[in-house]
Amino acid sequence: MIQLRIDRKQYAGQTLFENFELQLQPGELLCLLGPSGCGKTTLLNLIAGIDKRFDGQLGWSAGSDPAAQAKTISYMFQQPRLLPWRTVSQNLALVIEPDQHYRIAPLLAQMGLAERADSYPNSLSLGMARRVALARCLIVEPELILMDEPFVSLDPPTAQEMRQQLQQIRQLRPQTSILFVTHDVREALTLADRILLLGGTPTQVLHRWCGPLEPSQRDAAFLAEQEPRLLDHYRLVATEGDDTNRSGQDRRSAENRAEPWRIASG
Amino acid sequence: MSQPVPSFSSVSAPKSDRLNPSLPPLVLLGLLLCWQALAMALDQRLLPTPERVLVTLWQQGQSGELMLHLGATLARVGVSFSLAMLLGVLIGMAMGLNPRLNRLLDPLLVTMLNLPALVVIILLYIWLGMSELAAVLAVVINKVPNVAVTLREGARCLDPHFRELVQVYRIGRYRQLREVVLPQLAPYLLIAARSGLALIWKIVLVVELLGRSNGVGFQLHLAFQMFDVPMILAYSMAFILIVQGIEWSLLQPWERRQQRWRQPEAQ
Repeated sequence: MIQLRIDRKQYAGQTLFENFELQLQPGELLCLLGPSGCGKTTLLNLIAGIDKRFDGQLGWSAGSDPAAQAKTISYMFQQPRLLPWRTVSQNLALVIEPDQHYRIAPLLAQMGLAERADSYPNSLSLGMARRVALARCLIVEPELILMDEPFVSLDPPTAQEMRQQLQQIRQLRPQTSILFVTHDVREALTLADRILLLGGTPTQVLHRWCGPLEPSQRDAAFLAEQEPRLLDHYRLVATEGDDTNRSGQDRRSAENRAEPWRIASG
Repeated sequence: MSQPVPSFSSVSAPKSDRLNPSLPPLVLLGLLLCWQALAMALDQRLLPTPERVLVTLWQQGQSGELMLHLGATLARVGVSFSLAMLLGVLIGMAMGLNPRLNRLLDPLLVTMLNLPALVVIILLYIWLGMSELAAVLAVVINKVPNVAVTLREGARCLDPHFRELVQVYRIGRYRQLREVVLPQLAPYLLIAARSGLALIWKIVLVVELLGRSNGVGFQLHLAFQMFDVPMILAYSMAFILIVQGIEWSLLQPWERRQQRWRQPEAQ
């Protein structure tokens, strides 16, 4: 189990999170839903270790050795972030040790990318680049995958294909937990075991949703029933945010401010 | 009035960027022909023909003088270039990655950039004597600020998104440097190397002219005193040919290798 407890997290002099808790069970897909600037990406960055500036605790199940958790988290960013000077297979090789390279070819075949193993990223479509980014997440055999709006800007058939691919991956790797950020209520309802609707100042969980675990039960009737209810909650949070959370965009720009490079040890 | 009908036959496919590989040497051949024409029109004591210069070059080669002096100059260029690149890259990257260090060292860097090369050479010859150490040090001090400024810009342009990527996947320091940082710095390294080579060999000639007893600069000094224009041009041509050789055999293949991924059809 992964636990995050934030006593206080500040951005640009404002409190973004206070006394905030998040728990994720093994194999669970938890969806974070909420308006822009409410701190969804910040949560992913805190868990990934990109942002360490917060008061609180991040831990795995009690008693686990933090050193043994090396390379168990992977992150699918909103943009694929493939190194353009490395081929598809070299991009995957970058995040694993040389003695693990045998994983590359079967994984690329599983993702339908075998033909593009030696292609450079600038010759790939956005959909293909996202699949490579997903393959890079999987190649480290993570216990937790962080996904930040991974299917945004894709055409609907490609996005749908990738959602199905994600469901297949979950069946193949039932112990892998996924923390998934999205703005798309329907996508959240289709994929998630649990949904947390975030909002307010400081950010807190304003609504919880827990659905049937079997994706087969999520048919058109299920979506027709659940989607309007969740959308109502979402609109309420977003409207409230417009009145009370004007600084959301300021916080986003503070989050996105580039820091200088540090060539630190991994 | 009727509008002119666009002619579809005038639409043509975009021209390829590929250049016939025989054309660049033809430009040099054109230069030689212009030189020949100019030499024939002017006083040949002031501008000898290419043929006369080639004969001088051949004679110098046969006597062993050319190799001796070219070798001495190349050794100085090689050592100074390597040291200047190493120090310039380290200083430039440190300043680019550390804003506080940059603010601290920036005035010093600007001062060094604007220090005349001749002043550095003369001062080091006075302080350290007419030694090899003073000669090489003078060249290095002149070049390091240029490399540092170029690499500082490169380090500032490193993509922070890739920094987050290496953090998440805990990519080790060495692989991070070799596979993520250096490819981003490659264009800046190439600019520094290319301009460095061009600048360093010119400074080395001045250093040799002022205080060494061998090298191309020393020979040019002798030729100047004897008003021997063919000798001046022969040694200059020999060195230009070597620098051109380095450009074609090392820098351009490296550049092509680094830029391979930028081709849209790259596979």
